[in-house]
Amino acid sequence: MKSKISSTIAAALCIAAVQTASAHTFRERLAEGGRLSAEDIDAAFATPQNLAWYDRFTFGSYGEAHFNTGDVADKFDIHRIVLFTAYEFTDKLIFVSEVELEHLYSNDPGTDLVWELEQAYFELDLGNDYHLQAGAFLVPVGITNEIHEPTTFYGVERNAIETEILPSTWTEFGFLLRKNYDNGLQWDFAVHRGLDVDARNVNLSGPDLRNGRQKTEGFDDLGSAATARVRYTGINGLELAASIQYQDDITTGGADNNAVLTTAHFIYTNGGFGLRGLAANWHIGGDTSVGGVTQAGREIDDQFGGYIEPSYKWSFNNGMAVGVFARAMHWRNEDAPDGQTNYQAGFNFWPTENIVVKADWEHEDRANGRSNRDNYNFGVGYAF
Amino acid sequence: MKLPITILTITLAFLAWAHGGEQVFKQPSEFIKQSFGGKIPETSVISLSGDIKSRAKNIMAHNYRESRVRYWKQGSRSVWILEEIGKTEPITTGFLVENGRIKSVEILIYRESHGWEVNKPFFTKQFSSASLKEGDQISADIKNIAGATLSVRAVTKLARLALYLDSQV
Repeated sequence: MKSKISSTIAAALCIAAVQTASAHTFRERLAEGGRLSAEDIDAAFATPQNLAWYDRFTFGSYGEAHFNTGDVADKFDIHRIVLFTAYEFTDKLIFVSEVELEHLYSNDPGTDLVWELEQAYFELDLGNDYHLQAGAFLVPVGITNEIHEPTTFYGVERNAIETEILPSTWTEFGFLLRKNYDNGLQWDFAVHRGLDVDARNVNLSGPDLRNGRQKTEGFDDLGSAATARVRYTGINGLELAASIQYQDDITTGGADNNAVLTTAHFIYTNGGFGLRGLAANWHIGGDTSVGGVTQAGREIDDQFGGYIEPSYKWSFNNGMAVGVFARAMHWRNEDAPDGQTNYQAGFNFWPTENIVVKADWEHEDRANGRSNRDNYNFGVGYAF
Repeated sequence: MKLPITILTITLAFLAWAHGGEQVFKQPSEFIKQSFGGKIPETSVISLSGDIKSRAKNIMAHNYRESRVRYWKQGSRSVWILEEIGKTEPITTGFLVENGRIKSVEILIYRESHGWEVNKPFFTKQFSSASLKEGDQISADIKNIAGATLSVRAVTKLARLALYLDSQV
């Protein structure tokens, strides 16, 4: 049996070696220079159809560690390490997955190690700039949900609006169709599973939407939600996007708790200057008097928030960069029914483009009888 | 259980249906022809060794994927077809350089699932007339596109490399 396995492995390696050798033939000829035909030149740059299996894999990773202090309890947390894998079945079909290990180490006894699937989908290139994703993908809302490598944003922790109102990282199961146009316009339309908010995650005065994420634990009501997004990047340095989502019933129960999420954002960069802003609003139907999850009379069936963030980044010839930012955020949700405003300022230092060191100060102006807080955050992150 | 079965079925259908062929916007030979009035000049090769290798490495932040880079040159014009990985796949990009300035940039073969914006003229036209300035940086202000950062970075590095290599031949 052992020798049979060895022979199979040896044969596979031989085939892979032959495939790799033939894949390089045109490149070698091209590298020699001289008079070459158009066919030879094109073949040298084409992806070989007989790629070896190991050439079809791509790996990547990002991660971040944080230290929080000030008016909150001192906390050190290896917040996340994410492993990315892609496999190219054919030129038109790829599989993408991200697995996340959260809180690998934390001095907070209440913070548990979490191992979860962040993405796992097949993407098919349909031609004509149409792409179809099927599986577990990131919901196309806001800035942070889809792009959250620590080297891409300011601030040690992700901003509160895209944590409390847009519950990043937000993965759902379903199907997503995307179309890109030459003028920089893109639209996405997805049909997917929605949030599942039940009695266990109704806080103070309304549903805790963030805790309604089913992640990979629940498969209730596939197709109970739909999200549409329009995104425009046709003017260099400017991104405009807006999304709308409808959920049939965010309790996935019998009550009429439909929900509509609307969100829009912009990102503007010019040289080192950057400015971004985002607004998001949930309208949740059905109050407790009719079996819903929102409280009658508190009007917390609307949860909303927004932020604005100016920044400036200096890039140096040796590949290093440093940037400063300020951010103002305001939101209202079940945990802050009378609203909360946070102000934040800090810097990022990139010793190389793949590593970032961060520090920031955050002032929490909290309503509803809770004292204000000043927190200081320090972090380091990487992405490759 | 219904969901995993549905996904599995659809996945298998995709596998059965998907077929070969990559997103080739323009064949490399076509780009060369259009740059030289319909003809392909003799292919020349520059070896990345010594100072050239280390300057190229500084620009790319790693060794360039090949130690011998081909180019096509006629008079003051040169064409470079270079490749760099954006997030997961190489982006094959054509550069026409004339008198030390970029005359045109085109994404010839794109294999990434994200960062599609770099394929479009609204992005590539930013490189027009760009030259190399101090520190092997590019003179044009190439604006980032959120969500396509890695692809923007890859194409910008290749533009710097094309300008640098052009200055060496």
